[in-house]
Amino acid sequence: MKPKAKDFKSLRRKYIIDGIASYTVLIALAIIWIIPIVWTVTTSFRGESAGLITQSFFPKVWTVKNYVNLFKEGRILLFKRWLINTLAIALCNMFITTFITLCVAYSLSRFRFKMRRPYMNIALILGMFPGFMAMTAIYIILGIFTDAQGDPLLLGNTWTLLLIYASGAGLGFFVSKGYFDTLSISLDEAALLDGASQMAIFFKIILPLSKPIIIYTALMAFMTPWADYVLARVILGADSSRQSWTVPVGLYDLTDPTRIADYFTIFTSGCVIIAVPIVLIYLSLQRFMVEGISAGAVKG
Amino acid sequence: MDIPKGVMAMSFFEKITYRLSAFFKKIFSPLKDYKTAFKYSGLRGKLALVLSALVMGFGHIILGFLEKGLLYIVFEAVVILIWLKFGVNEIIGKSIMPSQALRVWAIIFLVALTLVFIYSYLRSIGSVIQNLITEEKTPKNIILNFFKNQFKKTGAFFQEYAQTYQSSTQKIKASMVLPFFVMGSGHLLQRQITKGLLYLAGMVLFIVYMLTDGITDLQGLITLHTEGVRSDYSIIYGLLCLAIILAFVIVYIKNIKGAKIGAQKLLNNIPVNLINDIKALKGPKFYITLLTLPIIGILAFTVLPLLFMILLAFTDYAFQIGTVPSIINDTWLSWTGFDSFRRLFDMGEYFKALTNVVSWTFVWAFFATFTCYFGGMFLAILINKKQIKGKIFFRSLFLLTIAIPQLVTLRVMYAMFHDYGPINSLLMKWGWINRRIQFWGNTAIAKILIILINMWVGVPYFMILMTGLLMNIPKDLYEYSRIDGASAFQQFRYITLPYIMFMTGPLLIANFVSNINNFNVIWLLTGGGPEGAGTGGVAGGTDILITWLYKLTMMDNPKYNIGSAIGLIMFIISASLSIIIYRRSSSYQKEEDFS
Repeated sequence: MKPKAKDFKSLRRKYIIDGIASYTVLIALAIIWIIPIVWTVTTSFRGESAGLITQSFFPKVWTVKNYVNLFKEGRILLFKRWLINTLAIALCNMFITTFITLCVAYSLSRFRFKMRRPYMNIALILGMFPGFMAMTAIYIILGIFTDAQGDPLLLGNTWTLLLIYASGAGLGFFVSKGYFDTLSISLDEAALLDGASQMAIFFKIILPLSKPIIIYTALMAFMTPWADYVLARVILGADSSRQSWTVPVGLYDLTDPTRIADYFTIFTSGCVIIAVPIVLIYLSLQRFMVEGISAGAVKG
Repeated sequence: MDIPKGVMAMSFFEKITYRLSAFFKKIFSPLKDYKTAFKYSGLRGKLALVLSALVMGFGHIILGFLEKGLLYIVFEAVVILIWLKFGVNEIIGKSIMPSQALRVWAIIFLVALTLVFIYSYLRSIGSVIQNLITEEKTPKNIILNFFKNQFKKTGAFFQEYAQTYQSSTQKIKASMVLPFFVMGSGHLLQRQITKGLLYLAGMVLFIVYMLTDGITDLQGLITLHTEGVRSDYSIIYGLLCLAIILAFVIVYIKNIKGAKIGAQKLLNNIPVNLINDIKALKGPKFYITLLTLPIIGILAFTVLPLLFMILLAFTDYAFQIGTVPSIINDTWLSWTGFDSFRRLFDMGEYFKALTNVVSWTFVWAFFATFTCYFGGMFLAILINKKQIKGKIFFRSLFLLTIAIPQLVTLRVMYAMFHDYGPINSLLMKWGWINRRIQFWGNTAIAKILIILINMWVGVPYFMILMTGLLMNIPKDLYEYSRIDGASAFQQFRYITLPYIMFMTGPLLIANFVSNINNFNVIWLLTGGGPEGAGTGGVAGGTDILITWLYKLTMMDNPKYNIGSAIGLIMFIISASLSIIIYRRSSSYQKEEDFS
């Protein structure tokens, strides 16, 4: 039977209706997803009240006062200090953790030694322990280190966080190892024939070829201190002067039930301040993010 | 399992019955050969068959499958114990469960346990019969074989050692005897001065340490009572001491191995020098250079804390309300064996809280995983449609939620649904409600909200992941199926879904495990609250295991022993799940194809 013009017409209509329906759903979803973000941003410019209570979705009085107040030093609020702390930790963590992760991933991908399989299995099992068990224990153990006056040296010290992040880096090798596995080993062999040492192969051949995974790992490491609340709270919570806190610890404190009435708009402006740069970095490096997430998934 | 060709065309119910019958066949078909196997096997086989029918696991042990048999016996013992403690009471109607809901759960649990028991009992007999028929000669005992191999290797090593010894000169002979008593002496006699001195220094340091601090540390680990040292620190020092002893043993063995290698090299006139050893660290042994630092980090900040915490589960380290840390009060900790576990499982408040928390943990993990997984799939397919323009725009928009730190998004969500937040205010203003809804104050509402908000956070992540996968599906599959007249839904059902499920199956289960441990979403939204709702007052209404653990160990009056016990139980659950996944994942099985 020959297809008639009518069939094509109905097909075409179906196609268009499907398109309209899809657009409607998609735009509705997009609105749901964007509302909290819009609300955060607009609230950070709200002038009529500092607390959470509000009668309208959008502010009635627009102001930048919240941003100004955010950077004013106070007893509760030391945002500038927290920002510097977090940035310092994030940058150091980015370099150290990325380097360690890549080293471990490379060894496990390219060398065949006796402890290789056990190491990978142990890493997997350790990763399955609830992080809190170690966290509580680390808290108690770090308490051992005190100065002459008996005050804790490592608790309430921002750099301790870096130490802990970096020391855990040897366990997060799975994604980058998967990436190294896909790089052909004939490259290594050719270089070995030319008399290169394994060290030279790693630094001069493999690393330059691994730009996507380096960027992905570095980005993840850079984000850790901006997103990590729990560990930071455990380690830094002892510091009542708030000098050593990071942004997440400080921001969370502002939404504490006792403070939310006075600090909510300031909290949202703090959120905007840290979210904007991170979002920009993400969007500009979107390609690598997508690659990293998918690579991690398929290697599973 | 091989599936006959027609299985794709079966209806849903046919499929289920097919799978079920295959399942029962797998269990029962070996049992048919019981008589035959009994008739044709020797005395040992007969004994194994009879005993395996009587007590699960004995048959395996007789046939040499020691570990499997022991596992079966332990499982059987556990089942019997649970039955004795709970089951009998339930049946005679004297339930010891504190509430009606718990009774229902207990009965469901008992029935499931009994079914699993029957299943494994039949399977164990089946596998004994199968082993007798196929006469599989080499029983697999992973742990036992490991020790056997080590023993064999050691034997071979000393044989070689003796041979080298006999064929050497007097001086080399001395260099092979002395290192057993003085570390490094062999190296020194073989003119490897630097290495020898290092070994010697190591030994001296070790002896000095053991004589000064080491012995007290070890005693402290046992008694938990060293003057001037807090009891909990005693455990840490004790663990460190054990680690040092272990390191010494390894170095000692290395020293003896080194003496043998050096003697062999001297016999064959191969020059030995340190520079070659150091050069190897850049070349074939480069991995040692790369891994040393990370491993030290892991040992110090992951392994040591974990061991410490595991040990704490067996102490009485808990702060009662109003008391201060042990050492200040001159009170010491003591080892209490399995007391903390007993306290968790006796019928008190902890047991009630535990059952509540565990069931919510699993409900939460299930819904969190599946809503995000299928939500992400739906969104990815939607954006991927041909009609949709501006794909990159939409993708970036949803990517925003991944980019913004979770702390921000979740705290903002918390505020939005706060008693005085915008949602309540707007609903009031529009006149839809006349009393503020306590979203976070009502356990049921809070739970639903948590899952919905988690979708807001998690769906875009899965969307990104699925987008990559969708693009990898061969386009011609869709072309062919369309020519064959498949509808869009059929295409989804028979091409897209199976493909994605195949690629992300392990990930799905891994995500389930990570949701069991998902602290952020729960803590940043509700903090585990509302406090004490229906959990005997020791846990919050939306607490999952991990947040409860946090409360027990990091808030006021920490109860480290109970917390560690919970952590251990969680570990056993998630570790066994993830080992199963990992062993089945393609990257584990196919890894060696690559090299």
